[in-house]
Amino acid sequence: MFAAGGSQAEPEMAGAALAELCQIYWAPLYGFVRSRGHTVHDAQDLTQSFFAYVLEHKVYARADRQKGRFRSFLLASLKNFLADAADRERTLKRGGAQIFLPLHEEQAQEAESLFQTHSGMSDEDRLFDRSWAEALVATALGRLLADYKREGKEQLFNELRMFVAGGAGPLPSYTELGHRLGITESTLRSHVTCLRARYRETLRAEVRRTVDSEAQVDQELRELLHVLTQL
Amino acid sequence: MGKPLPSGVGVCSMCGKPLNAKGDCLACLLRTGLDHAAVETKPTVLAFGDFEVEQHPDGSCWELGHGAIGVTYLAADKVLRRRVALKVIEVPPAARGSQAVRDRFLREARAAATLRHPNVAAVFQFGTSPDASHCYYAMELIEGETLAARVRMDGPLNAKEALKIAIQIARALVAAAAHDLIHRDLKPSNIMLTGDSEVKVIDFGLAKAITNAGGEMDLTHGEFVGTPTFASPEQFGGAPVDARSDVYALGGTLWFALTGLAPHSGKTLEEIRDGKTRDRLPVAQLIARKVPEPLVKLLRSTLAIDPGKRPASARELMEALESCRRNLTRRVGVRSEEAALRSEAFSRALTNAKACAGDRESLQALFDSAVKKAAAVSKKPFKRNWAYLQTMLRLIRAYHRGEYDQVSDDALVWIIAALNYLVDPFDLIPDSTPFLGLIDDAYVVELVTDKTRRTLDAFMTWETAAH
Repeated sequence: MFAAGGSQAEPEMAGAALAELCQIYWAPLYGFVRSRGHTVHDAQDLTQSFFAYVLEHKVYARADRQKGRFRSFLLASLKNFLADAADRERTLKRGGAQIFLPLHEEQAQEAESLFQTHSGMSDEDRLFDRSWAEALVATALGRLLADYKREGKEQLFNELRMFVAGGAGPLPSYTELGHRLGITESTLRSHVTCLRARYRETLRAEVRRTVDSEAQVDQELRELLHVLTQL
Repeated sequence: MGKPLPSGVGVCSMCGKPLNAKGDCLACLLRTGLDHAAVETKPTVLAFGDFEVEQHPDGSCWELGHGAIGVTYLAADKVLRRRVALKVIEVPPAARGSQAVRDRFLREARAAATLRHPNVAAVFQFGTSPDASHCYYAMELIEGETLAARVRMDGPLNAKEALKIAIQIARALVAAAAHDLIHRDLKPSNIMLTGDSEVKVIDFGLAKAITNAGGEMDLTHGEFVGTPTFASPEQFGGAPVDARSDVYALGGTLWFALTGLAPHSGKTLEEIRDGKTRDRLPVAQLIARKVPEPLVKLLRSTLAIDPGKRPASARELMEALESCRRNLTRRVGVRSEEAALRSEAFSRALTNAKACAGDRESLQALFDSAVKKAAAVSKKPFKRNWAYLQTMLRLIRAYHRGEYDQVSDDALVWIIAALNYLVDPFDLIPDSTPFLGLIDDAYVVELVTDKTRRTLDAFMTWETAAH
């Protein structure tokens, strides 16, 4: 499971990697808590508490790797966490755990907005998976954008992102877009191919952090894709 | 049929799935992670059966098109050493072990492979990858552009050109019907146009055979694969689909060719579906483009919500389209004098007249044939036509009063040619009058005067330049 998190030799790095993952997937967890009927503030507190609990008690270390993915593990853990009212009360009364994740206002608002958008569409597990997919692809796109920025190709990324991210409007023809960008059609095709390949690798790398094997990367992506078709 | 989408949620133009709040398509973003073609491009040649995908100089695969359900590549047939268009479709994981899906694909593929018609891109070969993850079929490579691209680049087509294309599509559908094939995904981007607007319909039935197999085997769970804009209303409801769905889609495609717009559009699947089943056709789009009334009427019936009110078959639609074209040919004949002077009919008349130049008897014979022709086509008493022709000659003489006798043989040739050309029945019929006999005499005089003057002016310009 999550490569860095699984390293017993480097517990600090493992903890940092887990903390990062918790940040990335904060919104799906928050949405799930909201879907259980908690208010915005309670849901924020509970989600923060849950992650603190996970980090503090090294819950991830107890996870059975053979059982699969980080996503399923987190959801099951959260359900247990919420079901355990005493734990929750204790955690809340204590004013949060010693280890805590910073919560940004913008992050909280985005998570709430995501919850509001999809709250009526499906059951809570589906909502969680859908939000998870959102978080996953947003992270992959964000990392790729950062890479392109470093290479001084931010504009190119923004012009071509529709070739991986789709959109409401039709894709422009290579001829038309190449003309607009002042590059040949062949070069443009090459850029698009390269972007798609790099995005694919970035996305799979993100997924790989939450599963055990390369084969599970495919399985995880297919499952998430499958969830989308059911919403 | 999928669950309704919340209003205001946009759909992806590539796969038809809802977009998220940022306007991105989660499905496309996830699917790219599974797209092995996205990385196996540089060192590895992508191959399916006897076909190798061609590469750009940078090693990337040479894509001809990329849609919601697959990618079309330029590929080389290693055995027959020819270039083909290779469509590769990823089989949904849940359907890979399904005999039903496999049988359905093979049945459609065999039928498509037996279909040979000038307006259909031939399917040469088909198969599945060894791990059953992909289906592919090799098609005739068409050099040209899609109808969608043509309209996007050049704007909407005129009625004559749009009809020429629609008739060829209908012919393709007629040929397909003989093989019990329906297309099911007819749309402007599936219509290839070669240099002179010759049509080749691509993707007959095959793509949907794999991806729209229905039930839980379908990746999309019965939802639309691709854009639903040109699909028939019954295709949204999961009702049985027959040739009348293709009739509907051809109507939508023709509408698009004429206006540059789809008859019904929307931001969501739900909006599009509701538009098709509830809203009236936006006929104002056609009127704004001056689409002739008979064609508007035909489009209304072709795009009827109830399949029973549409032309019952591709053949019936084809005949109706051809009738429209004949009607249109008559109606547009008087529109452009300049174009008319360059028209084939006039060139033919001029060539004939020139062949008789210097021979008064031959010219007289030519004149007489013009008279007979007028009599034959008008189905009116000869005298009446004779009167028209006399009127024309009188007008020509009047126009050149005092000079007519000095008109050179060349000029006479032009006049005779013009006369032959003028009595072409299609040229004498104004827009609003279907029968020659109903033409108002004053109108004819005006028409002929004007036309003759232009013809002779053109001659004078030519003669001045020549001397």
